[in-house]
Amino acid sequence: MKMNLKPVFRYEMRDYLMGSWPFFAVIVAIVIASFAGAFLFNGGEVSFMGYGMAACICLFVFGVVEPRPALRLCAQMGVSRRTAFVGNLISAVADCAILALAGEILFTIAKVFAGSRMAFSDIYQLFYQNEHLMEQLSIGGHVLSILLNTACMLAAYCLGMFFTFLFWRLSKVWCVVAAVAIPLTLNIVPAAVYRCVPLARAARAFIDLLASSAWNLMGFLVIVAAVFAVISYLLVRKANIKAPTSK
Amino acid sequence: MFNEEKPIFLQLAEQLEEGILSGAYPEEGQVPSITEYAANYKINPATALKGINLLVDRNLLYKKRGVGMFVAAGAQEKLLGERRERFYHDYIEKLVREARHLGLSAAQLSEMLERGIENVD
Amino acid sequence: MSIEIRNVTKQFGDTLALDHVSLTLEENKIYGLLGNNGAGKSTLLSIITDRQKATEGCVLVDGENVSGNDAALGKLFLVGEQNLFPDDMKVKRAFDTAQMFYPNFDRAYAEATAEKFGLNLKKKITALSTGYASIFRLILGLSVNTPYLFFDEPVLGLDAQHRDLFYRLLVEKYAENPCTIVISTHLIAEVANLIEHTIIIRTGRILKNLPTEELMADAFTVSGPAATVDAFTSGRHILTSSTLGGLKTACVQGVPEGELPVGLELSKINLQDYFISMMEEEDQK
Repeated sequence: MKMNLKPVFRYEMRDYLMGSWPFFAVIVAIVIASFAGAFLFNGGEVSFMGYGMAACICLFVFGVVEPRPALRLCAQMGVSRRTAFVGNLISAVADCAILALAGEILFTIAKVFAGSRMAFSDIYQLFYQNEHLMEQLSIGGHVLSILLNTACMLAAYCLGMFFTFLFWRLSKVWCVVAAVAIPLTLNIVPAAVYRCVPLARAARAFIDLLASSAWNLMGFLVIVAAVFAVISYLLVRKANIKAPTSK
Repeated sequence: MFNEEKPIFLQLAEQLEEGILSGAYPEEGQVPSITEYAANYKINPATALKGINLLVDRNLLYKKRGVGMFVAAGAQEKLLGERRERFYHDYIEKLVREARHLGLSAAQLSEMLERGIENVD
Repeated sequence: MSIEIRNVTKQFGDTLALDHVSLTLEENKIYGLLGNNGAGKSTLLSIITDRQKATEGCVLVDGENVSGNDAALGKLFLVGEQNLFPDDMKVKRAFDTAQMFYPNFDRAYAEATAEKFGLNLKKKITALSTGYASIFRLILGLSVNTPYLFFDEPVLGLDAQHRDLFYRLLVEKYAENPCTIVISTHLIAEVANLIEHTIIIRTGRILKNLPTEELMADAFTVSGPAATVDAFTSGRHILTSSTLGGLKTACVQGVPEGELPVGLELSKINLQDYFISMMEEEDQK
């Protein structure tokens, strides 16, 4: 069936960009502040390594906040929930890519001007360029860094979306159960894996695999994103779309 | 505006007739459109059309394509003739029946009629 | 061109909100969907517009299943009781958005109508009063120009003047650009002369579904001295009756037959009274 994606994408893309530019403005301000810091306090060293992570948190929040209103609006505007879901996800992917690209450009420029006491690096450098943190990346490195950041943000977004739809569908009691169970599982599972020798060994091997190449980590993140996106879709497929506060 | 005694379209037709009789809608003059009638009285346009068509069928109104509905020449005279014919049935019969119901004699009734003719303005 | 509702059932836990509802909504007709609160009107409209999924059955718009179908959904517009727009959206932006999604949205008409109602385009939708929130949605409905329009309790919170204006605009719109309109309401008297076809729904089931004219021809009111009324109506199906002193008024199903005895007054029943007597009769079942 033909999907009426265009209006959804146009509407959602604007929403994401409106939400993203303040975030990016803050990052730019931080970079400028680091330069000012390095200039004023000549003795200290300045480093900024958090762009990718900060962007992930930003996208996680978008994932929590954006999909529900998008679905509601589309229901009012004669667009199916499937189209609403897909259109919203495409917009989110585009937003991730734009933020990753913008970040890469910003920090490449920053590095050009940075002295020896200033370090700017990102997820890619931390994991795969550990010994050459201060060096400027090659073109291929830049591309990998952008792709990796995009994948990280997308995974964070889909996780946020999963939570928002999960708590949308669950009744009050189950919401509480989930709120307790999720952090508990996050504590118990790693501990259990650590204690169980074969599992720990497998986990170790898996981490090594991810660390061996940026492509592996990227692939893993995309699979995580896809899994959460599919679960999210299954959650909204039969949901009752209504106003947040229905009288 | 409308009561429940008769179907709306009949009442609308009567109102139109009344308008033609009184000269509110002069001959060769335009009458309100279906949309205006329907919107004004909050009735279904199909109902308004049905009411207006009653007058079109009797050649009291005619359609000008793309312009609207107009009062036919001679419509007032025609209506007046029809009304006079119906006068006996519509008023006299009822009058007599009610007079009997109230126990009025023929003489009393004629006397009242004469009084009415003199006094009612 | 029509909407077909086939055997739609909706279950919420133990309650059956809709019980095998089948209906056809024909092209360019005005329908009245009448029923008491909780009868299932809103649920039915939500299912038609795919906001809720039916437990059983389906809805076809011009022959296509509406579920997940953008082409079918784009032909519908539901002016619901709820606000589905984002919290921070302003009226003007909502018009922009409607224009994006509905190619036939008439922007100039929407703005002119907003001015007639005195709706401020710069206000946030969520900051509007109940009345103006309704007006905002009504204006969208009047401006989208879809072949099928649904109004769920359209005049809720509107004052008399704005109600009048809404009905007037609705009739104008319909007369100039016919489309299928479904008005769900419990303010029956206001729409009685507007609706060509009446659907009465009660506890999730369709009780009546026929042209308003036929429905109205199917009952009458007779009043007069109690004994005379009783004699005249004996053996007939009396929907409801009331006595005031020695005077009795009875709503009777069917058409009056035979000579009307002296002293009895016969009148057409109005839709609202008919509806109420029908509901009272059902209550007693």
